[in-house]
Order: sequence, then C-alpha cells, then structure tokens
Amino acid sequence: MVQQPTPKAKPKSKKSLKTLFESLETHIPPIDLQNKIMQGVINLNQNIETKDLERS
Amino acid sequence: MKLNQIRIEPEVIVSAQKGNIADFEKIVSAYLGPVYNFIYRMVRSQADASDLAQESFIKLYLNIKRYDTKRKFSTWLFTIVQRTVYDWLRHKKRNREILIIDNPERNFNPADKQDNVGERMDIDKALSGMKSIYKMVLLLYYFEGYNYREIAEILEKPINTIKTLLRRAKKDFRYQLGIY
Repeated sequence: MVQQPTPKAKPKSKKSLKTLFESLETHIPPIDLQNKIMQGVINLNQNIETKDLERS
Repeated sequence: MKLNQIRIEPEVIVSAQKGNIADFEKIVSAYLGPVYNFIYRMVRSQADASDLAQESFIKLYLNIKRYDTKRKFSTWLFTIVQRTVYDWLRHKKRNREILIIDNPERNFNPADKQDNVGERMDIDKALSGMKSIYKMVLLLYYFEGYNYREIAEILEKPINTIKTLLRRAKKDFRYQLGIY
C-alpha cells in the first residue's frame, strides 16, 4: 500500500497590502446616530442662542 | 464609499458655515459612514465609535466657520476626527481602562459569509495588535485612499515622517499577519 504524502500547510497569502485592505468590510453606523448628532447640534445651538440673548 | 471619494457642493459648506442646520445635516449625512467606519477600526467598539463620531461632528459644527474653503474639506474634517480619537486613546491609556473588544464576526454582513471572512478577521486581528499611529497611517493610506501629503496634513506631521511611519507600519502589519 502506497502511503499518501502529507499535504503541506497552506502558505500565507502574498497579496499586496492594497488588495488586503480593499477586502475589508465596511462597518455601518447605528441607524439613529445621525439623529443623535443632529439633536446634539440643535441643543448646542439653542444653548448658544440663549447665552447670546442673556448677554444682550 | 471611502471618505476620500465623497464630494459635497462648496455652497452647502458655505451655507453650513453661516449656521444653516439643514445644510450641516447634509454634511453629516455624507460623511457619517466613512467617519464612523474609520473610528470603529481604531477603537474596535460600537459604543465608543458612536460616541467619538458624535463628538467629532459636534466639534465640526463648533469650528466649521474656521474652515478655509481652499482646503480639501474631507482632509480638514479628518484632522478633527483624528484629534478626537487620539485624545480618547490617550485618556484611555492614562486611566489604564480595559479594552472591551467587539467580536469582529458580529459586525459582518451575512452576504460576506461566503467570501474571505477569515482573511478579514486576520487583518482586523493584525491591526488590533499595532500601535495606534501605525494603524491610523495604514488605514488612511490603504483604506481611505489618501496620499502622503494629505495624511501629513491630517496628522499634522511632515511628509517625511509620514513616509517613515508608513514604512514601519507596513513592516509591523506584515509581521502581525505572518507574511513578513
């Protein structure tokens, strides 16, 4: 009986770094993040306006 | 879409500089995805990436009047983003807080399962073992598509420093991946 040769370990990828990075997936922001940011901006704007009124 | 590929009408930016909140929201809408994605890769936590993205856009709102329209907007925005991330990383390091790293597989789209998920996890693992500055330079160059000059502007360092950092980052990344 002929013994089958042991398969060699798969060599590590020699792809370029550019190709490797292109394969990275995109992480999508949580669905409500834009609303949270805009709510923060609106609140900030209101605080600034209130302070301006108090000063005048 | 990569951050470097987004184009927004200059009139929208000028209007946002004058305080138009609807136009500021157009900027947020255009850049939130790439900004979040970049921050996520730096901090490896959804909750922290959300907080830092929010902080970055609030800083943008507070400083948008200072933006010089002759400059590339995404490069200028990214200077704010990188400073925000760096301050957070420094603070975290100072407090010796334990990093809770999200399971990278949890963030993959089901459609991705059929292709090179293992390879991506290797890349994520390699990146997580690197110095923050190396990771940032690699992501800006390879993932976001910025050139040396733009990265120098974003990170506020000389071009030659960026070239050196990128060379060292590539070497370290290959070492982390086991393909040196």
